Amino acid sequence: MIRFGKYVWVGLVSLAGFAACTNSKMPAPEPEPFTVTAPANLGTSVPAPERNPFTREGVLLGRKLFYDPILSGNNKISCATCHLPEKAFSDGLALSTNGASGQALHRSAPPLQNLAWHKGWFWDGGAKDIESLNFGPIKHADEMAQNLTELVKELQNHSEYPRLFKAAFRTDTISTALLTRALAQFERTLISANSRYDKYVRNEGGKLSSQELEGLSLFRQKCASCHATDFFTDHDYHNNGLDNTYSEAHEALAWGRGRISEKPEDIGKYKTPTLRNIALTAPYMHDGRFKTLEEVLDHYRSGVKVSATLDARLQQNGKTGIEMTEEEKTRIIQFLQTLTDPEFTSNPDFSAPR
Amino acid sequence: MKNKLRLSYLILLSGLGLLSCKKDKVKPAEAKQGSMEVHFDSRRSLTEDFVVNKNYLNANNDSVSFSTFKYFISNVELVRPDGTTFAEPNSYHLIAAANTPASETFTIANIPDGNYSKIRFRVGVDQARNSSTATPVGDLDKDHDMTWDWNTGYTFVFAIGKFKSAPASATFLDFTYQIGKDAQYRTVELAFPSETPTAQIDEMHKPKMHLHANIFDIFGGPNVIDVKANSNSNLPQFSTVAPKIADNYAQMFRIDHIHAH
Repeated sequence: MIRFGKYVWVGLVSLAGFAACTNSKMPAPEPEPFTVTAPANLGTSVPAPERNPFTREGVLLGRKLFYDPILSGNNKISCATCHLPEKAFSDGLALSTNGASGQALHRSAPPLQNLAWHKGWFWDGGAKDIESLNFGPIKHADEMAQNLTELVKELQNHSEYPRLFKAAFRTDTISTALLTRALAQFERTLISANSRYDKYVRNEGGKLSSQELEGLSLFRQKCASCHATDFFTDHDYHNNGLDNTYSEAHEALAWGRGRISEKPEDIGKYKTPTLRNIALTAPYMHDGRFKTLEEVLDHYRSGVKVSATLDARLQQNGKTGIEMTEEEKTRIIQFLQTLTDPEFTSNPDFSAPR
Repeated sequence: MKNKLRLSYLILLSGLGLLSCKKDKVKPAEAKQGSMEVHFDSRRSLTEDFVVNKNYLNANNDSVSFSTFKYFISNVELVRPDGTTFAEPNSYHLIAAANTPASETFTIANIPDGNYSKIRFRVGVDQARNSSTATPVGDLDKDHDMTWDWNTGYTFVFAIGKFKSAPASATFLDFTYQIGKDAQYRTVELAFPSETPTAQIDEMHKPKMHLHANIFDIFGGPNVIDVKANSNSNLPQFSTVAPKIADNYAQMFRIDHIHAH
């Protein structure tokens, strides 16, 4: 049973709607709407598109689909193959070879957390909503390699899914749009906001050591202009100096955001990743090139490469990168460890249904 | 537009229990309606039909053939002589010239009785629908090859074929044109032909419109496209070519004739 204990969910069963229908035959039961809420430091309300509001049945269906390898062409790969809850829904790999073809992917599987607030999805923001994004990994030959027409047939002939779609969407005629809406509803509930840092900042009894507090202070000076707010991302795109040449190979994949926007000023930019659960989501960057947080901070200290689109914040006062001493680096990493949220990674609402 | 809004309300309200009232809605009794069948005939030219996988010379004198040619026609409107219009609701039609299960024909239903003198339609998908590929309206979820997943949106015109690498060469190479993105959305307006400048549409009069789509015009028309230099629309430099092709497909349609019926 799913509990959604953390969230206030409000049964908004529309009394007005039923009252107006007393003469008509009772239809299939309504899916139960509820409001997913977030803690105050994330702004309380959770965005969801009007066309796909949360329902209890929709989220439960989405969770079942997320963990079901039926979504893949060979029925062996689920979303959770590369998005493991214990790693904040990342996979611990730089470039996974766990897809249907065994070919290495071109980008690292990102963690899935607080996705509802993003403004674009994928590392380059190419997906304009989560519903559209889901088709990417399902169809891609190197990921789940599924034919959507086949998938709809399989789900339609399944012993449980037609009933579950009916409960969630009032129709047992399964379509790709309903499939992805259910997945997106579940994915939007994956909210991490109960780390020790959160409990400290919300005065809920979380304690940070003096070293961690020192790290927090350094973080705010040196990192928080991009890793901003308690989302620890500005949801924007930046070139952080990983490279200074941008190949046109693979249809200019290395252009990052520039490939999507088709603007030269966006070449080499990627979405600022959140730092929540960062201790669990190694390796780092869009291609997983850094194995440890030490390597990441060393990059910002001394590895930043200059090119036309390098972010101005990484080249101030004639200096490239972010100045920090070895001790400051250690403190920042100590602070970053406080962003780990065990309630998120072990939340039974988010784990595979039994 | 009104009808599009209506659909989104239905989706929204389905979570609120109001959908159960659908049966209570009363259709306006006074509206009399007709219909019109619209056929898009893929052509080599005004005088020559199009054959799949057959080589033809295009406007740049390149020998090219198409194995696939499909496109979205959307937001169809019929215009009355006084300029007022009827807009087809949920108007998204996948038209396929070759090698797909989609059709070249659709029927516009529930057209209010009257006299019409122009058709207006769009090639592609409007920005509102193009910002998500998970809304099943019209033909939008009919063919999943017509979406981009890494860069959300629909392919407006999808053409796959071969071209001769050089005039004297025997080597044919592949080209793939997936043209889309909001900037390539085009409006086409065609006045009814001089033989039938207006058409009456009502319960007794259900005309059939026969349009020509001169599909090789994607290489010609206002802009001549050299397919040898531009064979893959997914390459970054194609972003300057795509609008030129869009200007070409905006002008590739003609009304051949209208059967009054």
